[in-house]
Amino acid sequence: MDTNLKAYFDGLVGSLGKKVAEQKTARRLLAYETGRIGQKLFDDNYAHAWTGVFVPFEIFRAMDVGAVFIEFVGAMLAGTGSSASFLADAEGFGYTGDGCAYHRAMIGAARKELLGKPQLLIGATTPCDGGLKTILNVARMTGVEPFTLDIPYPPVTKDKVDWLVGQYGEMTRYIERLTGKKYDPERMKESARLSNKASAIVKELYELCKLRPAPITSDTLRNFQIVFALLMGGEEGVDVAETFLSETRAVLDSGAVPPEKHRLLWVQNRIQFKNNIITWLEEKYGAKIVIDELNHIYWDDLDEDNPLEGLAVRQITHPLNGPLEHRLAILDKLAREYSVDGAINPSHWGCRQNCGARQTMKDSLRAAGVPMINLDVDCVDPRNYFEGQILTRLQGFMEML
Amino acid sequence: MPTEKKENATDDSGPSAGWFCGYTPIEILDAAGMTPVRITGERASTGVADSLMHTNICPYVKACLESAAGGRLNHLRGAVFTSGCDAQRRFFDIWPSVVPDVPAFLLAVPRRGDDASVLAFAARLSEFKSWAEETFATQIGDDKLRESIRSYAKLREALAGMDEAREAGLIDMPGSRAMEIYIAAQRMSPGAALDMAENEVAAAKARAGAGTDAKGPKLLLAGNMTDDPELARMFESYGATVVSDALCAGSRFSSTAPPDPDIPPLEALARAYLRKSPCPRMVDADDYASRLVRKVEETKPDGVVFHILKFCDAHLYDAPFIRDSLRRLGVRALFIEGDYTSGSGQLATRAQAFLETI
Ligand code: SF4
Ligand code: SF4
Repeated sequence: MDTNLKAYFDGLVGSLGKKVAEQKTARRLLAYETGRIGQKLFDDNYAHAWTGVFVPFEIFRAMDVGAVFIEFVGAMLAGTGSSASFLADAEGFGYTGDGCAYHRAMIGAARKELLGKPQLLIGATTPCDGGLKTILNVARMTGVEPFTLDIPYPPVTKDKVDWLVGQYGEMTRYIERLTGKKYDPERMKESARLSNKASAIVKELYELCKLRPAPITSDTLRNFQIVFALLMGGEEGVDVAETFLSETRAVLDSGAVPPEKHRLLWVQNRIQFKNNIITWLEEKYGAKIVIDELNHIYWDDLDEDNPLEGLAVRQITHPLNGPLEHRLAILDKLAREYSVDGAINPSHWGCRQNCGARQTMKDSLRAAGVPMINLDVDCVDPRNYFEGQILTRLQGFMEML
Repeated sequence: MPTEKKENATDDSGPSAGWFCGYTPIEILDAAGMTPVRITGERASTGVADSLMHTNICPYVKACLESAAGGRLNHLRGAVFTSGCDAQRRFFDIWPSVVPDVPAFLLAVPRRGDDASVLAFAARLSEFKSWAEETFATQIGDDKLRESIRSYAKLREALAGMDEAREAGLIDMPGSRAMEIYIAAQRMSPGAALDMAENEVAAAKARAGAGTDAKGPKLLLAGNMTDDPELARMFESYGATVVSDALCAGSRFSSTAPPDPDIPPLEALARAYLRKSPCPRMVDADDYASRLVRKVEETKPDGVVFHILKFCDAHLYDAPFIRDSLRRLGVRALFIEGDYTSGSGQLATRAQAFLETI
C-alpha cells in the first residue's frame, strides 16, 4: 500500500457496502462505517482532521469534520500487512525505533502522503507523550497549523472542567477559522443525544459479555470501542451499536454460545497485524477474551443541554489520563465484573505509559486474585515478532491458570 | 567543597524534599522549610528498577527508582513529581510501593502558556502548597513565599550571570565545573547556593585574570536530563571547552525570569515557570529548534553536542527535526543517545572523532 489511501477506502466501502446489503453483520458494519470515515478524509463536504486518540469526536461530528486518530493509521497499516515499509521509512528519516510504532507508522505514512493532507491537526496531552509529539511533527511536515488540548488530571474539579471547556471553545473556533465550518450548539446537542443513545446500547452489549459463558468470541469486540469512538455522535454509531447488541442477543437466544474454559481480560490494545495468538488461546485452552480494557463506558450520560462539560469530565477521567490509581481501580472492577481468570498485557514496545505501569498493574491485579502476563510485543511492527516465543510464554501462563 | 557530588544529599543540615522536573516551583518547598533537593540517579546497575519497569523506560528515571528502591531516598520528607513525561508519571505511581514512608505529590503542569493555562497552573500550585503545608506541618504565608521567590530569583540571576561570563570568556570555568555548580545549587537552600555560586565565580574570575579565551573547540552541550559533569569533562579532556549549555539541570534552571512581585505569588510563579526556556515537552520541534539555533548564534560554538537520554519521547521524536535545523545552520552536531552511565569507550571514540571534524 504505497499510494493514496482514497482508493483503498473507496474499494473497502464498495465491497463491504455490497456485503452489508446482502447480510448486515456487526463486524462488517463496523468495518464499513470505519471505511466511510476514511473516505471523509478525501471528501470535500467534510473538513479533514487527524487527531489524538482520545479526543471528543462528537464535536467533530457536529461540525462535519471527518476525523481519524493517527494511531488508527498505524493499526490499519499493520492490519493490512503493510506497516513495515512505513516504519522503515520513518526510521530512515531519523525517527527513533524505540518509540511507539503507531506513531512511527504515521510519520512514514505522512511522509509518503498516504492520507493526502489534513486541514486540521488536533492533539491532546493524553494518553502519552508520543501521540502529541507526532501530531506536532506531522504539522511541521505538512505545514498545517495544529491545535493542542491540554487535559487536566483527575480528580475532577470545577476549575479543571471550565478550563477544558474553554479549550473546546478555542478548538471549535480553530476549526471554524481553518475550514469555514460553523459550530452550531443545536447540532452539538444532537450529537450528544446520539452519543448517549449509542453508549446506552453499548453498555447493554457489555453487560451480556459478563454472562458465563459470554455470547461472543475473543474477536467479536476486538479494537471495538477505540474505533467506535469515531462514530460517536452520529446515527451510524447507533446503528453499529444496535447491530452488535442484536447479534449478540441472537447468539445467546440460539444457545450457540461459544464455549469457554478460561475468561481473559486484554489490557490496552490488541496486536494489530495478523497473528495466531487468539485462535491458539481459544483452540488449545478454551480461553476467551471477554473484556478488553478499553471497551468500557466509564462516563455518565452527557447533559444534552450542556454537552461540553460532560465531554470534559469524560476526558479528565479517562483511565489512561494522569496517575495510575484510577486505571488500576477500573482494571480491578473489570476483572471482577467480568469474572476473569487472567489478564494479558501485550506491553506494546515503545508505549512508555503502559510499559512503565506494567508491574504496578500486575501487582494490583494479583492482589485482586487475577494473574496478569506481560508479553513483549510490538503491536504494530511485525519485523521482530517471534510467535513461537510468545506462545511458549503464554503456554506457561495458561497452564498456571 | 560544596560542589563535591554526594548522591541526592543536601549540603544543608535541615530537612529536605526531593524534586525531579525543572517545572517544579521549588520556591514552595523552600517556603515550607524544606531544602529542595533535585534527585539524580545512581550511575550503577538498575537491576531492581528493571524488574519494576520495562527496559524501555528513561534511564534517569530508572536510576532514581533504583535509589528509591534501595532505601537511599528515605531521608526525604516528601517528593514532588510532575506530569512532564510518561516515565515520571509512572515513577510517581510506583513510588509508594518502594518508599512508602515518604509522601509524594504529582504536579500537573500545563503545556500551554496562555493566560487560562497560567491560571490553571496557579490552581494546581495552590494544591501543591496545601499538600506541602500538610505534609511538612507548616503554614506558607504569602510573605514567606515571596521571600523564597526573591531568594531563588537572586540565585538564578547569579547562575545566569555565571553562564554569560563563561560564554564571554570572562571567567575561567570549564563546562564540567559549571555543571557541578548547577547540580550542587539544586541541592541546597537558595541562600547557601547563592554564596557557593558567588564564591565559585569570584575564584574563576581571579583565575581568568584579564580575560581568557576558551581553548580548543568551543562546544554547546544541549539535551535533556544530563546531569553528569563527566560528560563535559570527557570532551574537555580531549581539548575542547564546553562554553554553554541548553540542559534541563543546567541553564534551563536559571532561565526562569523573576516572578512578578505585584501579582499573587502562586500566579506569579505559574507565569514565570510556564514561560521559562522550554524543554521539548512544552513546545514543538520548530519552537525548540529555533531557540537552540538562537543560542548557537549568540554563543557561536564550533560544535553542538546533543545528548538525549534513551527512551525520552519528548526529545527523541523531535530529534530528526532538531538535527535538520542544526544542519541548515551549518554547525557541526553530535547526537548521542545516553543511557545515564558515565560514558563508554564507544562514546569516547565518537567524541574524539567529532572533535577532529571541527
Ligand atoms: S500505544 Fe501507548 S504510546 Fe502508543 S499511542 Fe497508545 S498510549 Fe501512546
Ligand atoms: S529525560 Fe525525558 S523521559 Fe526522562 S525524566 Fe526527563 S523528560 Fe522524562
